[in-house]
Amino acid sequence: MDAYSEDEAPNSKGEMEKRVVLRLDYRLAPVKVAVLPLSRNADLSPKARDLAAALRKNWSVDFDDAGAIGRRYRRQDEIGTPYAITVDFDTLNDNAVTIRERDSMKQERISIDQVEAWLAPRLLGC
Amino acid sequence: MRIIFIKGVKGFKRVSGGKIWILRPASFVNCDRCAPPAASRMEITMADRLEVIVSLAKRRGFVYPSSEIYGGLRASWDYGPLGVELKNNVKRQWWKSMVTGREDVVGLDSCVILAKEVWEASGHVETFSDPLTECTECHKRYRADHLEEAYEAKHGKKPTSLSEINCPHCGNKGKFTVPKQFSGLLKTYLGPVEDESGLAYLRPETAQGIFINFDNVATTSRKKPPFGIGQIGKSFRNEITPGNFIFRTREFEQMEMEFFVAPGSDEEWHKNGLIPDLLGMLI
Repeated sequence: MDAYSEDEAPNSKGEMEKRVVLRLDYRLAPVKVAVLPLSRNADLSPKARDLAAALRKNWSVDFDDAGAIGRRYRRQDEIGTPYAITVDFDTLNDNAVTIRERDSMKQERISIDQVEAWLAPRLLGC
Repeated sequence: MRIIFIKGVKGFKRVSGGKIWILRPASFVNCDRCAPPAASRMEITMADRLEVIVSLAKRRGFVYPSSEIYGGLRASWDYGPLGVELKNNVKRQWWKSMVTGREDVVGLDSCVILAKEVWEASGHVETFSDPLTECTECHKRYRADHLEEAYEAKHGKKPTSLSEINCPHCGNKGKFTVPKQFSGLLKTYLGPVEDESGLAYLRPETAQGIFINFDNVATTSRKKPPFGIGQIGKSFRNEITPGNFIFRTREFEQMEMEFFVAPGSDEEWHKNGLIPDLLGMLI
């Protein structure tokens, strides 16, 4: 019950909106990582799918490429997913992805081949 | 997700014929029968919050009302894709901190249906019952002890009899029948003939499976008290008034650990903090 919380975050137009976050302990979250390609694109999709498949060996992973990216973040926040990984068009050049943390909403740019090593200590015991 | 309460310090039992005292500090029980009164008060103040969470849980597929396409079955819930992950995670973390994470605790998975002699010996057949009363106006059934508790919470004193209490449904006073004892055990029949010889009970708690295997476990795992046996599994209680969301359902999952210590040393075990910091983690 205490995990349920609401706070505010800017939407795509920069206005503040209500955000529902299930602040579950990472160990309890039903989905640990969400892989979200920015759009359904012939170049982005395979990269994102490969990444999701690789992470699925260790954690429960949700792959979602339907709808606006902001709304997909909200959907993940609502079920308490600790990390959301965005595969965007820059990925095609620098082979890196953006990882967003649920509570702080801080984003970090991580190279694709480093993602698993980056997540491992953060999802220890999950 | 079911809210889990820690059972109070009471509940010392003596295994019949044995010399072992059973201390139940860490029995996680999820029914109001065992919950401290404070918990039920907390539930009421959090009712609004609960409602929002219930709606989220249904919308996102944590739980579904069971048997819904055939009209539903009262107070039974199926866990959806996210719900089962969450539930498995809770069980795994409990198991890690309560069983595998401790050198003095081992695990067990015993049967739901035990010989009926077990339940006769434990006293469940005789005493595991609730006082059932019915309002003669609207024919709603209630547990008499619940009505009395509610009266006491409202008026600050115990009612002298049920006739002082208004029916929570229709509001009529003094219309309750004399309470009858109603067994909380769910019955089934083993074998082809549905008669007394095949009568069996679904377990109302996981603890008895631990008690009857005490000797097996102690011998084979070469343990002697102080040590504990943990178990996670489904239990069944035929509640008269089931159902506040996933709380007090007739079928429910229990996480239970029985810790066996030398007679007289139980207080010391309590003081030394046998219970790991689990509640901080649970939702």
